[in-house]
Amino acid sequence: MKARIVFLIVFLFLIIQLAKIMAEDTAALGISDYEVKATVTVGEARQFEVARIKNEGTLNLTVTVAWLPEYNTSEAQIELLFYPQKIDLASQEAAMIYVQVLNASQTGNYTGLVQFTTDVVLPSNASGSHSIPGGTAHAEFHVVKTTPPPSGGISLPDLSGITNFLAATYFLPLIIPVVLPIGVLGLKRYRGRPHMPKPSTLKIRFPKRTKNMDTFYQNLFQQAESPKQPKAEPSQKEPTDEELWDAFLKRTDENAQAN
Amino acid sequence: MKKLLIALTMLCIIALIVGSVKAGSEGSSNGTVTVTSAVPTLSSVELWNSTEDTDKNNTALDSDNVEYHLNFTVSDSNTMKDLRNVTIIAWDNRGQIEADSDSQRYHYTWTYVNSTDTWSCPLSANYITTGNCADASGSLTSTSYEFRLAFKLSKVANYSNAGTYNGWQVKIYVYDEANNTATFGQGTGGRIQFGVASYLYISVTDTTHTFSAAPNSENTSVSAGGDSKVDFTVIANRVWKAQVKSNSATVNKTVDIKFNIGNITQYGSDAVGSSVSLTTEYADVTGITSQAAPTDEASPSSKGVYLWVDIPNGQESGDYTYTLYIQIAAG
Repeated sequence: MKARIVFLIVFLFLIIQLAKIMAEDTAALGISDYEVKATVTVGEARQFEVARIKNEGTLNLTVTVAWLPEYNTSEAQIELLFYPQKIDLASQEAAMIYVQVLNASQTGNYTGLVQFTTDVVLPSNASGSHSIPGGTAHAEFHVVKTTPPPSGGISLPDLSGITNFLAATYFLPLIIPVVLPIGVLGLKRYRGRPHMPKPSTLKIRFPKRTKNMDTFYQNLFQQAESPKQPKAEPSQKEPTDEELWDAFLKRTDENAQAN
Repeated sequence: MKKLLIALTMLCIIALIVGSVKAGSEGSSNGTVTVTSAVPTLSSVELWNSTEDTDKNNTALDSDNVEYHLNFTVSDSNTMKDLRNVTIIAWDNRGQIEADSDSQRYHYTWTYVNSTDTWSCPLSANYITTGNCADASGSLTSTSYEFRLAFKLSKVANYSNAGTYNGWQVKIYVYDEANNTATFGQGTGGRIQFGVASYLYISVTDTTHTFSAAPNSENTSVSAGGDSKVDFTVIANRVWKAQVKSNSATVNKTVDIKFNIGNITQYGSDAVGSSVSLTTEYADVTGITSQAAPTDEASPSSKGVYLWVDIPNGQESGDYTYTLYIQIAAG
């Protein structure tokens, strides 16, 4: 009997120990890094997705976000706003991390790492130094800065220092010789178009004596499909919309009577 | 006589005509109209996030079991009853081909069978949300229907830059009962493709670790979770490496009683002679660099960082602490 009890106690102790091992707390962080590559104008309020982070462990995490610049070719500095900058994530909770460029000392390329540092609340019985997870995401910003418009001029983006930016290569050669003539041509063609009545002046009156509406519509379609009338001689007085419509109605009535 | 012959002849002709007319009115002719099998067509193929407010074609998808929707319209003039099945394949086009077998890393297949009205992912049910899929089972008499595959990718789905033809490709096949096929994807003129965002996951198993050493001792191994290394597991979808750093430049008992963090050294295997000092900047763990991504997210890579401490002579007794950060980075 005694031996049985001892065996039972030992067995229960082993089960408890095994359960403890199985339920071991873990601190885990998963990071989906979107490797943001953005062209931004200083001060603009656009936001970019940097990464999606998820607490994959059993312990609660507090994640702090910071910027670690790398490969800057000069002393240029960039001021970024991450949000959330600090976030508490319960087990299996996830959060999207966004960034906005607040300021940059120079235009150009800025690359770096977004550092995720975690803080873990360990069980009160945990002793010793903590070992906790961290992680990073990559980010790259091409910064362009809008210059104040000089008097009498137009404001153009300052593309200095953006060597690999498409607009820097094609902006002036493409915009000035191509877009400007197209605009001038468009303006000329617009001026050359015949005057169209304003929608508010177009009145539609149906003929009173039309015998059947087919004749009315027949004439209406004929008028619509008829080739454009040659432009009236400048000396002749151009009939008004009212006069044209009356003539059309008269012709409709005549056709109806003839039918 | 002649007249009689003519009359007889006329009578015979009339009788023949009447007879033939009578025969025609009493007979029957069986008519058969054969409706041929029309070839199904595929159109309006789109890749969306799960709320279908963001177009995800040519973008990087999360590999982290996040749901996405592949919508496409199937048309068949013989109605949706005529469909037999739909097969959708996604594969990493860099080194893999459409005909390869399924794997979490490189290749996925999803199917819809019309006769049983079932969606499935042979690789694992983890990579399809059948409840969010849509099919024509409720509109079998219609000639067109918008299908939806609600799918997910494994955490180890191979990392790929978005928007390149060398990324992941999607191909759709629709078969009808006459084995007519509609195809969309690479080689058919239409194309849906995506990248997979870099994914790195670390789970620190040994969340605490201790050293126990006397003053003026060297290379005392750490004790963590019953062995002399801080264990962690990794899931990644690209080649990865482990890095470690300390949160502070000293290991502290109090503000004034401390010793330098450089007295703690780290290495990726049990070789103290090759170990390097901890600093407050992340440094690679030698021996745990250029690690291949696991092939199954249920079987993470298990690794450990070995640590040793030198206790200076004259150090007060007591508990000294610091925080060890471990992170996973690409490479």
